[in-house]
Amino acid sequence: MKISRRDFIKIGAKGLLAGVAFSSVPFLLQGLVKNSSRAIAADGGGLERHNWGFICDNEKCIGCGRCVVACKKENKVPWEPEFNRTWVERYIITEDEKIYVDSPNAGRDGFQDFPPKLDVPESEVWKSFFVPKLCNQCHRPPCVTVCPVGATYQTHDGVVLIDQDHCIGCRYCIQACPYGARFFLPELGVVDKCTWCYHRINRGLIPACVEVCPVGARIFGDLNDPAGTLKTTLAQKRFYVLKPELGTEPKVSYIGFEKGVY
Amino acid sequence: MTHLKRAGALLAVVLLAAFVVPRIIPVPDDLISFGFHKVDEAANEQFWASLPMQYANPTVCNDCHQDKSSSWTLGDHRAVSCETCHSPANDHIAGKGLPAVDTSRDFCGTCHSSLISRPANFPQIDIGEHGGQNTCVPCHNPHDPREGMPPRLPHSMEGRENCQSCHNPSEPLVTVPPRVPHTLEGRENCTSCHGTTEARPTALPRIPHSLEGRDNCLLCHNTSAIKPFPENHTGRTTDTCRNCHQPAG
Amino acid sequence: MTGFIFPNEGVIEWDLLIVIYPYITGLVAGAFVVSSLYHVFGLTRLKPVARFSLITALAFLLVTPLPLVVHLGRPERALEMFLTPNLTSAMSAFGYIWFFYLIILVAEVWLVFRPDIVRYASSSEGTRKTVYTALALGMNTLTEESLTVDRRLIKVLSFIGIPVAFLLHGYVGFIFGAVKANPWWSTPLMPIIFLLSAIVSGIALLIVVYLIVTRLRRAEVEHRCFHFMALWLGGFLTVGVVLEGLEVFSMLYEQEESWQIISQLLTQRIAFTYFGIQFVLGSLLPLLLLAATALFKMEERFKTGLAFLSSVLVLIGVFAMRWNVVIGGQLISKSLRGFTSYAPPLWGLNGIVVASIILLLPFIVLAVLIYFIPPWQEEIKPPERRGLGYRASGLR
Repeated sequence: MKISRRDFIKIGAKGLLAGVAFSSVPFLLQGLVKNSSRAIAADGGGLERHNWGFICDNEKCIGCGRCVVACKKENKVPWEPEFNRTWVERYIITEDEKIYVDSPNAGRDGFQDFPPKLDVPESEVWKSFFVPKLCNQCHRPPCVTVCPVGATYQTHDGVVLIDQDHCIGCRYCIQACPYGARFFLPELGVVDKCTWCYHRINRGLIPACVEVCPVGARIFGDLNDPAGTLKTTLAQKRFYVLKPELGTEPKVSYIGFEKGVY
Repeated sequence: MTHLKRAGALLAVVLLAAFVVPRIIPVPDDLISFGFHKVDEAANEQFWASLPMQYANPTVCNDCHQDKSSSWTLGDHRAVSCETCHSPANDHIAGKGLPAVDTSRDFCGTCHSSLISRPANFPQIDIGEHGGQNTCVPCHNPHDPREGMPPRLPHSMEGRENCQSCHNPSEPLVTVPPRVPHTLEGRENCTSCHGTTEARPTALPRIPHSLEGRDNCLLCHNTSAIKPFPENHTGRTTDTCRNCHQPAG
Repeated sequence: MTGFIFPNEGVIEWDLLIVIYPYITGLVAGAFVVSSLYHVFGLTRLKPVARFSLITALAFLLVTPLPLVVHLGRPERALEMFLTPNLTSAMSAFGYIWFFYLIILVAEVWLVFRPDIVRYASSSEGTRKTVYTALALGMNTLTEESLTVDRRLIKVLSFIGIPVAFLLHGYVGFIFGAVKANPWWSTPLMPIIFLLSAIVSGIALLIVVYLIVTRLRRAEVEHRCFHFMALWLGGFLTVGVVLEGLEVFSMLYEQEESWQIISQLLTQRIAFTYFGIQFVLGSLLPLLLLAATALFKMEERFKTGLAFLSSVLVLIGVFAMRWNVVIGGQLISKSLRGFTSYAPPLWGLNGIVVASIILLLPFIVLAVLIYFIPPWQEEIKPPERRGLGYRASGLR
């Protein structure tokens, strides 16, 4: 049999294609299998049995910033104020209902006196309060939708995590997050965010920021636990979530002052 | 049309080289994992779940430091975790140094300096005025900050504007409710020292039954009677019960 | 920084590199549209620039991924975009659309230029012969039959190419338009606006480069073709400006919560680049100039000069538009209470120098392409060796 050059290329190309298609099958299967095996928590239970939730109580928060410090220490977040998994904002509303917000050093060093930048006297303040912020671990997270390589994902207990070994550092997720909860780590070239102290909550502990809050302004718990503090508090109190109109369904609920808090 | 066939073959080769070959040949796992939208979620969850912790919790601290935790559990700081002030403990538990404690005025002031934004019922001081420029610890035991301080009111102030109507310092006979043990000179405002219960509500037991036909409380509640009042209620008379205890409903 | 921004918002994450990325993609789409107007819609007046626009599109397309890869935090993982795409992400489509478009464009260029390549292969010697023979894939003969098939294929390819070019750039607009967290970006008009400004900038680029290259070649400017391009430029520019205005006008009219911050953005933060450059200098002025060339009788040279000037202004205006979208959108804090600030650094990977080099690269690629496969139809003899000055500039 005589094979022309053209035929050779043709046959070769077909053979190569078929070989490639065939040899990729085990990889595909492997991917499926990997998907179905879930991680096991340190306390022996599967990670998926919870549905974590969070409450921030603006009426209790005193703006001491211990949460910000604890978060940075617990999660090795860079100490500089540009990198925050959690932070505290101060709202000052004047008698004529102008709203001033600040967060010096993200609240890490607490809050000093009356904000120096504000040009209204303290006597004209109508009301003022602190608002702790952190990742809302949205039920429908826009950051996960936009990640081009699927490096960020939602766990089965509702926490949004980043695989930093997979993240390419395009920062689309930072743009997509309506709450400013994500930030870029220039040294690693990847994005970082609050995990609700995934390593603590899977050991049966509470996140570090909740642990150190001196006034109980942060409550962490399981939304599936009807008798838990989280669920009972939500049952008794009026609460709201941030930017509900965006349809992200945040899982951090806020108690207290709402107007102008985004 | 040989040129088109060759072009097609070239295209096939390029496509293979660009998309398929990198998946087939062994490449570092962290660079390429196979399949659409694929991070190994289970492994990554496990990675995050198994990171080391820095902060322990008060239960752990209590294992060694009962002396401190016994006063802490009773004091007003009992809701404040040890590590809020002492910084993370796990290095200390692992035998690597002591957790640092900042005892400066400014550190106490992070919570207690007066700010307009803080909840009004949260104890706050003017950091510039209060107690000169001394550090706080000599006066305030940080584990029980009100230790040695004037006692808090055990009842609400509602309907009780005039403290002296019950706690009259000049009538020694009336010992219950407690007599004021000091003069009132320069101390017009009792609640400036004796905190109100709003910060620590300790509800007094209400009377669980109706009072109809039961004018004389001591008939039942005297020390020797069927349902005696607590031992520290010595000297109470029928007239004074309802100063503190109201009928339920 | 003014007002309040979330603490993590101090850094502009999508910087100058991401400004020039949609700029370059837009030029591709626009240049391709010109070639398609000739190849598909049979606008024969565009024949003198049809082949030129094709290789211009190719030159810019080849550089498109570069600013993206340079901008990545982990550029070595760029391939993940192809290999592990998350299909819900608009961005993951980029690799595929880009690659698909590249194949179409390379195929079309090859087919269009194949007769030339074959001719060069048979008439040149030494290394050049090897290069051209390789480019011809070893087929150094042309038959009438094969040329007929090629012509048909060219038409098919440019036909497919139009939606893909639109997809490539519409998708860039979608990347921004689909970010609901950002009130300045989040509008369904964004892909269309991007598309139109892409076409506009592409045509303007062709006008500019065509005129410059023709002058450098000391060749005659094809005035009919030139003004026909200018006419199309004016048409697309009109629609583009109307849409851009409409977008902001509806925001103004609806007066949503976010309008306050957007109006501050437009009037304080990017007032100069928005009203000054994008609208007045880059849209209204060229529109007026183009209208003048169409309405008033004037000397041909003067007319050409005005069209050239308009095109330069349009190119600047579209760049300002990219800036106002990409940077402007990030200046707004998502707290809707303040602005961060941004000034591109001169040096460094995200700096002006690197961005300029990347912007310059497509012209170098274009010069190389022109050197190997001159698109000028009147010049069918193989390129001769000339002085270094000419070759280095690549402008023959």
